[in-house]
Amino acid sequence: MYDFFPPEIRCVLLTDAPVINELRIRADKPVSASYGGIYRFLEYCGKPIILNGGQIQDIVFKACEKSVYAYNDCIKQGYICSGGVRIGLCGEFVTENGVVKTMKNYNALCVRIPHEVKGCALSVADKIITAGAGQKRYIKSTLVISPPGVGKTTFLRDIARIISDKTRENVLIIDEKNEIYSDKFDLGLTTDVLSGCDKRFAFFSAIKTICPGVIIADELTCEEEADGALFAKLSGSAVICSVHAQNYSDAEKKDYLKKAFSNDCFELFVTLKRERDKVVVSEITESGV
Amino acid sequence: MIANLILAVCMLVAGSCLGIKFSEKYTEKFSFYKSLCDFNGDFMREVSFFKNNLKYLYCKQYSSVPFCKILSKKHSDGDIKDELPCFLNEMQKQDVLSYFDKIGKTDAPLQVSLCEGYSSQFEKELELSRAEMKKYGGLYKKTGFLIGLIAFVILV
Repeated sequence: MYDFFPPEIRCVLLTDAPVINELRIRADKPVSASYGGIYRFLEYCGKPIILNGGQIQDIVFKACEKSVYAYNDCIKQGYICSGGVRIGLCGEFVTENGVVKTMKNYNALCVRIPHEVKGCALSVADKIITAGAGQKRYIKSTLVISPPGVGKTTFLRDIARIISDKTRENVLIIDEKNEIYSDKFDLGLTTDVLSGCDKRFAFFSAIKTICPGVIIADELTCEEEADGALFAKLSGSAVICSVHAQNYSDAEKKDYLKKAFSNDCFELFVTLKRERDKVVVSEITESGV
Repeated sequence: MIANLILAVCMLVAGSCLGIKFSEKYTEKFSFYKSLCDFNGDFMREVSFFKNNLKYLYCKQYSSVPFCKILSKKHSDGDIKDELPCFLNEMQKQDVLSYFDKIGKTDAPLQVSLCEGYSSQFEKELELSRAEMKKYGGLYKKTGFLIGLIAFVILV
């Protein structure tokens, strides 16, 4: 999973990966890691780990599995996702006639270390999965709200597993950045994954072809994606999405979400926060309440 | 008399085997370039359509054993210099090295044009090795058999 890192970082991850959320690698500066939100410089054999620019280019090339052609669409958007590990790239964009062609001279990386925290969504599962008509359970469309780096993806992964296990409903994960799914994570027996494609397209395609009962998607970032979620909801599927915001009232102010909010795309709003190294639910708001 | 006959048969078999052994170089070279052309074609297909990474291609099996050894070395991130077969001359070795050094490093359109450039070069080498295999491969086999036959006649 971490083959693309130099040995000294791999060595640290061998023991600390379960408690590290994020790595910050900057050229010629000490590598730091977030331990439950608190950043510390990493050390190897008593010395701080410092990588140069060449080593950073090497990490990027290896994370691309030495196949830049397969990752360039992501590189153009400033990230690579390799085996569930998302690497945010900082460097120089190469443009031609105003169009981004690729990125070069990487000088910093922000590496998200994925985790599986079974049960982290259990506290709200009963609010999301409610009694429906007859034997059938009703799944409320939910918007998960939190600032970056709190654990939305981990939460979505767990809610997918819980819904699949409890209801046997067909769950579809739209994994645009290839970071929700990894063969190491348990996503439930009735969960399908649509990966690598644009969320705007994926919502429409999924409704037409896969007939999911629940669609789970990470990070709605524009009106087209929110429209896709609304389309899925109005087509009869429950949608569980996430968005970057501090809380419900901040999310409500986002222009691109207004149409989705006014059309009751979401019935439940779950705000997450981080407490030490744990993801906790700080606020649950029901639509219209 | 029987000992002579046995020895004569042995000489005939040995001559033929030597002929086959010497002709193998040409067969292997042809097989190597055939595999290289197939790999290049598969790579172009991946780059322009499926976009699977190179590691996926390095795991595929091709007819040439020396070529598969190169792929296996690339898969394990090793240096392929030592795996280059001796039937390639220095220039051919350089071409193979630079090909494997360049693939995977740029975006899809550049990779496709790179592969197209190498494709014509490798096709040319394939044709040359096919002609060599027909000419010299057959010659070595026939010569080996002939030497064995001469030894057989002399001994018998």
